[in-house]
Amino acid sequence: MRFLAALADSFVNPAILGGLVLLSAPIIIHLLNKRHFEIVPWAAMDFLLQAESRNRRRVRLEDLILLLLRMLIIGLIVFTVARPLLRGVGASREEERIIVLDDSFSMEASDGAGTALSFAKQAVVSQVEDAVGRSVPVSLWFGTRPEAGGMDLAFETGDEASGTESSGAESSRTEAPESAERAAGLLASVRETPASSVRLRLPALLDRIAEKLEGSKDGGLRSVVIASDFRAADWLEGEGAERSALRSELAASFAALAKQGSLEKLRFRFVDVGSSSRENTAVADIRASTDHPIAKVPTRILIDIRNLGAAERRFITGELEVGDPEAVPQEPGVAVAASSSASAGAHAGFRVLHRIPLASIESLAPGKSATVEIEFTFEKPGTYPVAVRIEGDRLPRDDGAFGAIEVSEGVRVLVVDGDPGTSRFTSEAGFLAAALAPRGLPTGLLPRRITGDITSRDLEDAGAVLILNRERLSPDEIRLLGDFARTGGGVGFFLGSRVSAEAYAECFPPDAEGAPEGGQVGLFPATLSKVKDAEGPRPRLRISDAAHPAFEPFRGIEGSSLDQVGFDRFFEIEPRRGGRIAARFTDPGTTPAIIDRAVGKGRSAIFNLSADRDWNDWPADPSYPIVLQEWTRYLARRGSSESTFIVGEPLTWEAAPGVEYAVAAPGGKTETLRPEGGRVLVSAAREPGLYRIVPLAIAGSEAPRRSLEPFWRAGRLDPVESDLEPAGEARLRAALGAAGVEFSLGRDVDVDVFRKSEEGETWRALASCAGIFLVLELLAAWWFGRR
Amino acid sequence: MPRLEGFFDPELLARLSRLELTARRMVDGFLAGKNRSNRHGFSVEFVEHREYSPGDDLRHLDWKVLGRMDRLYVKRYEEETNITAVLVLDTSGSMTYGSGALTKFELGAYAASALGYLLHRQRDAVGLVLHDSEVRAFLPPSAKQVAIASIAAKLQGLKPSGKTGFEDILTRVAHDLPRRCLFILVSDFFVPIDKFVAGIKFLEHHGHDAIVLQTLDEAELSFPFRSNTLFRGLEDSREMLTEPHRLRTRYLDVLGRFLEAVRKQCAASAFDHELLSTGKSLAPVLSTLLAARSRRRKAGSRKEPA
Repeated sequence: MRFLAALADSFVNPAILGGLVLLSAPIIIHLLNKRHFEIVPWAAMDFLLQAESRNRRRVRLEDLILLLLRMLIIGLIVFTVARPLLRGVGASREEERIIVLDDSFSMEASDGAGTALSFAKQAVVSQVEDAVGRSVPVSLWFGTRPEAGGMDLAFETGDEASGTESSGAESSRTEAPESAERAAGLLASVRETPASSVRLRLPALLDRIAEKLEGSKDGGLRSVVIASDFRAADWLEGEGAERSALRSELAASFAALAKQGSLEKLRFRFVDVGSSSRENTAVADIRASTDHPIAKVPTRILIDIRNLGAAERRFITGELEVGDPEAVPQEPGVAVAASSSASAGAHAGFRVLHRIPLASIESLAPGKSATVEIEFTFEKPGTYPVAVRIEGDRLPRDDGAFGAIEVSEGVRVLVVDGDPGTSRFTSEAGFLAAALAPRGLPTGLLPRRITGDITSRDLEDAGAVLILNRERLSPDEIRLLGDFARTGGGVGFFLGSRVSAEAYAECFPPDAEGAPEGGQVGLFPATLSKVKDAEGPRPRLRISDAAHPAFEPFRGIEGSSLDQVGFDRFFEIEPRRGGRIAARFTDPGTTPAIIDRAVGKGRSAIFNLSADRDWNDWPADPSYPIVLQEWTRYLARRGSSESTFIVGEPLTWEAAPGVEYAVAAPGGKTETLRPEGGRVLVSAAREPGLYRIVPLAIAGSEAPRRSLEPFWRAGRLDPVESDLEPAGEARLRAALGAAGVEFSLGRDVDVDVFRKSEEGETWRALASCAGIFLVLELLAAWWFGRR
Repeated sequence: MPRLEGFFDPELLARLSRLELTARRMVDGFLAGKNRSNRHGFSVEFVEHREYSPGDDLRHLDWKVLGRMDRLYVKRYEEETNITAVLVLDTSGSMTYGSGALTKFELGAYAASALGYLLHRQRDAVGLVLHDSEVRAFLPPSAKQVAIASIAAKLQGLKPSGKTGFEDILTRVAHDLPRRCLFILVSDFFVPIDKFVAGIKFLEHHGHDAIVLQTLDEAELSFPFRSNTLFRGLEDSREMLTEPHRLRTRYLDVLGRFLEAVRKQCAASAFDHELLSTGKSLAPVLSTLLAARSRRRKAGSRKEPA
């Protein structure tokens, strides 16, 4: 048996050796030929016998030569087809087989016969079994978990059994029975592993493999078998049919392997289990139409649906579920039983309040997106978990999505009145406060007027701060406002008679080179010069940036009342670095009227006008409340952009001081986390769905009330995985060829051929010899017959 | 002439009709007296002079030349006498071989019959010997009318068989013949060369003339066989399985040397030798043979001492 195994190991096609029985063919033919003859009565027998006796030796020698040549040719042909391997003579052994199973969720795409993942598993199992059968060490990796490293299975050889070499910490050197057990464990893990919700992480995988190879002592050949659907999005840069270049991250990983000297020792074998079809429709996004959904104020929930396939999709239907924002576990850290919502799955605490069928999308062209809008009024403030699902297709996992919509009672606007008057409409803030929250009209804006210094308590729950005609700001106030803006808040400055350019220049020094706040962009987006009175016709306000979000209501409208407003006095003003002029006066100098810029996560704006009627009569115009409401909403703190995240990427949020968080993940697992560096990080958020986060005050700390409100975070699938367009062999070869990577690709990679083809193949030499000897045989036969 | 059939080919005979078959041996002097009574219608023709050698018979001296030139010469004569010819035809098994229309025996029989007919027409005595390793039939030479018919009858329906003999046959036949004869030997001569040489020399030694007609088949001469062939001997049980194309060169070499040896010996003994092939027409060969003999005789008779 050992001999047979060694024989099988020494030939690519050992079964062909059975053809060696054909060596007897020339002998048999020679003997058979002698059975067929003519009979000729002959008179000159003496001469014939004389000739034969003189010829006999030569004829026998010629026969022997021809026989040997023919047998040799047959033997060479048999060996050529059997493909013997000559190890040790320019040959390489397969030192290790690195097998990668792509378990990303795109592998769940099905064509009826099975999912790509099921085919990939079969291929991986056969690869592992073959390697185990040949005692080739195996390293099994899962494509979405490069950080977990490979599951290694090694075998002891004779040398290693004597204890001469230590292989390293990771591989498990086992005796034969334990190897079998471990191999069985390996195979079981392959068979049982479900598709992940995470994207295939090829660059990270290659980097981990590079680390592993750098640590290995042998320089032998390794095969890298990747069983995947080989989608273009995983391998190629860009989008659409035009993409052809290798992804830059992949190119960098391959370059690193090449630089390390490992690339030339790797033989890439791609087992393509993907389908040629790219049909898939996915829910791309679910969000509120506004950054500040307000309780009791109608808003729209927008659901983006994208057709990633090449064929039109018709009559797409679905359902939206809006969950209870207050469905929290009674005890922190204890998972709530799974809801009854089938579409939301086992999401801790998700209790469906509303189910709303989606308007059917009659037709969705290939490559196009459609947005379904659902008008909805949230009853009260809170973070509402939402889930949407459309009818399933060949990849069901991306036919649903989750979201978390933060609904507030309104945007709290701190109005800092720099010139309080004796009555409502004699103060700077009177008109503005009335414009922001007209009596009886819910605008979602909740102005609160102060006249004194701004404190941290004032900013605690504010979404925006409007500073009206304030003579100056103290350093503390500037610091607080700067922090407020950089953490997402908005600050607007209205000018007026109490404002002096010198004072503001002192308060807000230039923030170009040598910015005072350590290089950060300052709060004040412009430099004031002198006050100017309008000359000639009263300047009007002209929107200079029609695309500005704050002017959205005026977009496309000609001749609004804004054109009627006259402005008598304003500052000469110059925007600072990054400042955007949203509107100008129509004076000869087209003086900027509104300037805004980003400050950290927030923004600040200057309104080069008075909030009251001192310098203009705008408060009397109907456009005044509209513009101010839109600008205030624009400046106000956004709903948390961290409410959704891509699964597989870290789930993180800014932590409040003195607070720890109980996180309940989809599926019910909970853990309690403490912040580090002011942020909380959930590193293993790999499941899509709703994560319920309950802040818990740390004993002995004084956590702000607002920071103790539970909230949701929605984990979404990486939209890249929904793009099932195959990369295609041609594009893969072009892209990888440019990176110096060669590979073989097929649906069923022949293990024997791929493994052995590297190991001292001699068939070419044998075929050449067979050819030479064939020519020699022909020449010899001709020459012998000629004589 | 009696009506002849069998191996007397009218066409062949017609072609040879203008030719004569002459004896070729030079005899010294004039054989008169003792043999004259035995020979009807013989004549001698002066051919040449040669210088006297001590011991020559003085009766052969040409006194005229002596008187004229004061030198001693003897005359030499070509004995123009009725030829006594014997057709010696090999009827051994080897003569049965024929790859074409004719067997060697048939070819030889045609040739012997033609020459026999020619002799008979010249009123020469013709006899017949049929042999293998033994004499199977003997017709003494006769110039009678019935002789040729007897020969024809003997040849009719003959089935050659047996081994080839040569020297012993000639010895036996010559013993039964009263005088020097013209032996027309028709055979393939597939005997050991030393036997052949011995036989030829025997004839030469006893003053006989001979025409050696060696009959071979075209296949024996060209050996055209290609595929595996089992050659079975016609005169014995020997057989050989071989690939003929691989033997051909060697066989032809061996055969060629044999034929050359035969030819050489015949030339050495001043006997005419012709190779008859079953693949070639007989008439040209015999015509050439007879014409050459006739020319040689005429050329020899016109020579005079200088």
